[in-house]
Amino acid sequence: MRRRNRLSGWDDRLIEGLLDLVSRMSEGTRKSLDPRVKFVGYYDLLKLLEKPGCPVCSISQRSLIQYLNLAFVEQLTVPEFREPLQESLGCCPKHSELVRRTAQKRLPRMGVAVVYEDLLGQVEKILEKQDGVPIPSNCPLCSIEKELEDYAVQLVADYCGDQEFQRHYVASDGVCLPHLGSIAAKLQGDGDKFLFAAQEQILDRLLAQLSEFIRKQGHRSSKEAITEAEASSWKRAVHFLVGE
Amino acid sequence: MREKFWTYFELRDACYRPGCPVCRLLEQRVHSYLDSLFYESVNDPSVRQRLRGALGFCRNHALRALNLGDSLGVAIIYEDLLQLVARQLDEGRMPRPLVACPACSLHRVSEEGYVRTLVEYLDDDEFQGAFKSSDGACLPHLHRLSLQLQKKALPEWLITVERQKLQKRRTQLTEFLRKQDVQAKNEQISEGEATACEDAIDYLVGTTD
Repeated sequence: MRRRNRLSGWDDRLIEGLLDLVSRMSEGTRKSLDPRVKFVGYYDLLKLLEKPGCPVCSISQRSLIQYLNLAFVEQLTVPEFREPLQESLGCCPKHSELVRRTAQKRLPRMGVAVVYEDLLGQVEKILEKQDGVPIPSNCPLCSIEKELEDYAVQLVADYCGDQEFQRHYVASDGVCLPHLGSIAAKLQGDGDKFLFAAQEQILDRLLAQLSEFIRKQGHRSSKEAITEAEASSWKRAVHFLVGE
Repeated sequence: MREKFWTYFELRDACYRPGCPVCRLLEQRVHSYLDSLFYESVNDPSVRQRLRGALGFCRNHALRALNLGDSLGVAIIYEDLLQLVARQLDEGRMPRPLVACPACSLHRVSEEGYVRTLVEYLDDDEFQGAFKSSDGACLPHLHRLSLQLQKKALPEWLITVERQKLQKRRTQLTEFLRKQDVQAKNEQISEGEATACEDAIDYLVGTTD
């Protein structure tokens, strides 16, 4: 007997599979609670900190896209994948954008076409019966994304007290504001202090780059070269407030 | 003859463009708002005040603002917002938006206006003709329309039009899938079939502005 996930309606085993996939992609594990023990997921996090953008957003977005790329091909005929999408009449606008991105590749595009042809058929039947107008609701991907975010938030929270992690974190773009709140809620004591102090430092650096970018747009500074960090500062400022 | 106002003509003309007419107009309106805000209102104190309260735009509209590419306008506004966030973090407070994203508010108010106009002119011959030649309303706007009509049912002609457009979308998807088969490899995929997936997604959730 398959168990249905309380939140998403997706089969629990599918979700476990997804989380397993995430673990393998980040080559880590969800069980790392002891910061002295470093899993491959930790090193993946360090790598993400070297790249621009919030690492929590990167982990969840990357995993969701890779999962959809697989799901619309391999799990297309699995009822546990199709049923929640049928019940919700597809995804919310945010995740429909992800489905749209998935559909840019040939094989998943065929899967998307099959699923959406089915969904349009469902709508047609309801309109035919003149039984009101159906509307998409309870997007299953929202719950999946929430689980992925929880995993990534916990990963950052677990290692906040680690010195190596702290060095990497201070040099990075840090996490976005929405995820800063989620991580702070899981932290107490030194980890909490570190996170806020580090984020202020990161923010000061970004503000200095933004100010320089603005100053160099002026006529008097038009001959001064703009650094790469300054050139991307306006985009990073937006992403800091809303995530990736 | 019944009086017609600007919104009516906007809606009628949007029927001759691809996609849901309400989505098209909302997309256009929010785009113009963001464009003019970054072009000419960056230093307007009331705009700044509103944006401070909302902590900038929501994710969707912030990404739209980025796509406009007005780097200086975005930099000036977001420098101000980051200073606010830095101050609040320094005081040990977690910054949170206190009011709704201004672009979302504009979207909501405009949407209500367009749907109301749609309801008002549903029995107008000229409008019916225009709507029949359109791609039909997306599902969320059809739903809004049915709510606006309250206890009255959606008119028969509208349901017929919507069903016809839906059947067309399904046929395009089916044809797209059929033409992926090796036996149909020499058959040309039409433009409508090539974008059938995106059209189906847009139909179910509307076009995000």
